[in-house]
Amino acid sequence: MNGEASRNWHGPAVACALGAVGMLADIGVVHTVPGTPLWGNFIAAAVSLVLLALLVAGRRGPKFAVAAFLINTLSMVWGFWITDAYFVNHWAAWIPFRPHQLGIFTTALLAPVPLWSGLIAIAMFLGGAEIHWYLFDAADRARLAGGQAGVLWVYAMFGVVLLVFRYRRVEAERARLRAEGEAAALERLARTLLALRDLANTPLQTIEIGVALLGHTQGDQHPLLERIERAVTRLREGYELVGTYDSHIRWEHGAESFDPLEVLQHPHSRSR
Amino acid sequence: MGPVLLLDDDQDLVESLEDLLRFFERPFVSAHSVDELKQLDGNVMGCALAILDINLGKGQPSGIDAYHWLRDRKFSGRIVFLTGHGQSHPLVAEAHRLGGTQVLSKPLTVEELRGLLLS
Repeated sequence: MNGEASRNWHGPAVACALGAVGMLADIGVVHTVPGTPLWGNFIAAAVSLVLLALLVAGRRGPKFAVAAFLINTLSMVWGFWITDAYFVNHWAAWIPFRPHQLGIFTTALLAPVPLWSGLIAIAMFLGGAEIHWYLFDAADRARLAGGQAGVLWVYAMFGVVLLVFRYRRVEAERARLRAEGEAAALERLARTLLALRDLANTPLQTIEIGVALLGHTQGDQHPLLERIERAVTRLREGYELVGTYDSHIRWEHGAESFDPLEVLQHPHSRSR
Repeated sequence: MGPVLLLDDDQDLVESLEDLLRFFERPFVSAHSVDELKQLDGNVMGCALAILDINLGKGQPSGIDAYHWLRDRKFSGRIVFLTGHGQSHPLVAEAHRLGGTQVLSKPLTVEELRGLLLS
């Protein structure tokens, strides 16, 4: 799992923590409305806490992070459904779907990758509220602030825009990190090849001179010397090709003189 | 032809070049580091050709430092850098920018070496 994937659980964990705290805090409001049950909030808060515990305990795979985020959203939407059914009849000053609005913006900020998980969560908040709205009695709908259900569409639209904007930024960051990783890997390869070439060139020069001197004593046409010469030529040609990687190295001041053996032994260290 | 100054941290290469110079019957002076070069001092100034390795080991003064030391002491001979580094290496690029020098990449063919040592 790379660094980015390992961070994908942070958003769901914060969403679960907020869900648990929010649903428990909402009890302070719920208990003031006569007849409204508290168990919906308790169950939703318990679901959020269990998911949070699993995430914190190490269940941080990308699939589980997405599942936890969506289950947490569903549990909150369900909790709101339970209380809203009582609020509509017993709370005269009730303004519907405020928690859904908050949920949409929270989703835009905390939804994990991939994008569809955030879109589904926003659809849950919007759909849960809209369906419930049309299940209210016509008289209740007329009494309540009628624009609230419509306003939620505006929230959802803004939430989607924020979500997409955030994902595009995440994608750009991901591409940047990928490019930096590739450049760093290429530079490490180039440094390793340079060290290898540096290590090989001087011995090759020594062999080249040795073969030439031996040629004078043994005769230039000696088959053994000819084979060594051909081998040296092949090695030289190979190392010349390796030199094309040099341009990928960013030299730091003071690191120009290096020990090639040390570079080959520690290829991940930059300033050798 | 005047003596040749050899500066390289690789003992085997220096000895091989010395053998080659003996074969060509050309005198030489050799050193493996800039410090050793400085100790030779007077023997060095009479050389007609200096062949300097660029990378003389991690943390060691480089062939470029040797070049500056020679030039500061009014060395009048020809200076050639012999390097195993690629052309993009900063020290090699710096060597290219120095006046009156030549930068050659190891390994040279024997024909190239003959042309260099008999020039």
